[in-house]
Amino acid sequence: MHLGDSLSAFLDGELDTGARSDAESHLASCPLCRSELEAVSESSRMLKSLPVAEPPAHLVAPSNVRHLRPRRGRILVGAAAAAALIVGVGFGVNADRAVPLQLDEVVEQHVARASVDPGFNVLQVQAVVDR
Amino acid sequence: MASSEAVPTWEQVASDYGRTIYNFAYRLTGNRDDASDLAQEVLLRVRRGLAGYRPGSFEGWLWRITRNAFLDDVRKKQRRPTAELPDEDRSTIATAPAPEEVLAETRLSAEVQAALLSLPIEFREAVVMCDVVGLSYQEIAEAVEVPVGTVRSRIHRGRLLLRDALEGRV
Ligand SMILES: [Zn+2]
Repeated sequence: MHLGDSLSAFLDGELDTGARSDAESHLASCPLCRSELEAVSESSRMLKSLPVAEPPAHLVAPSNVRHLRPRRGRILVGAAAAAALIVGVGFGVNADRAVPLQLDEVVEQHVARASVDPGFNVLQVQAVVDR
Repeated sequence: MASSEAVPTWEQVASDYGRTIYNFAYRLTGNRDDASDLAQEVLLRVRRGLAGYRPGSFEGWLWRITRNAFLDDVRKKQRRPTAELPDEDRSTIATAPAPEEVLAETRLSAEVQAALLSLPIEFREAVVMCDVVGLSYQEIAEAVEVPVGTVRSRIHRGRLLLRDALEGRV
């Protein structure tokens, strides 16, 4: 029996240890499930890469905007990943360009400045670029 | 904000979640004005509801309010339909002469947004809560008031539908 719904749960870390290792062994021998996992991963990655839209000021308290989401912060990770993708595509082959600077420029186009910790983004991108 | 903490103030909710609520609304509606109205409505409902809120699953409580506001909005709009196109990053294009890479990325975002809008609401909200907001399956189940197994199946089908919708576009 194929993995079906469990593939998304597997991708999201929502399977318990037993189910996870069952899924891993099934994936090792089933090209059909591997390609379905690839499809849902791609959709998930695209959604996570969507730029963060900046709300009108009256919707947030302007003085203490510190984070997009307090706990898991996946929007920020997604935005950084989107920026990293752009850097990878646009400047990855040009070793002379200062990547963190490009990233800052790109992030400023898409992400609320007040919400971005520049250090965090540089770390994210370097992690991607170094890979 | 951990569930065990005391009841937050309305100002805390606005400053901690206002941006995320707006982004949730924007990805579900594809339209900045609608997103703005919806986020404002959610914050009003939160302000009214906080008095009756008892510490528990704050995420489940907040996102239940948010998606119910969204559904009410959808019902209202069905009664007086308007044809609105997604306005992905119009402001970015207008204000910044963006490099080629940024334009390509903006086009891709617009394609993803359009594909998202083609999904039936229950799948759209499931993938947005999971991949845009970053909620766990349990939190989504509490917000949508369905079993976790249903959430899992909606997320999976939603992602496959999104892939199908994007295949003809990207
Ligand atoms: Zn299989």
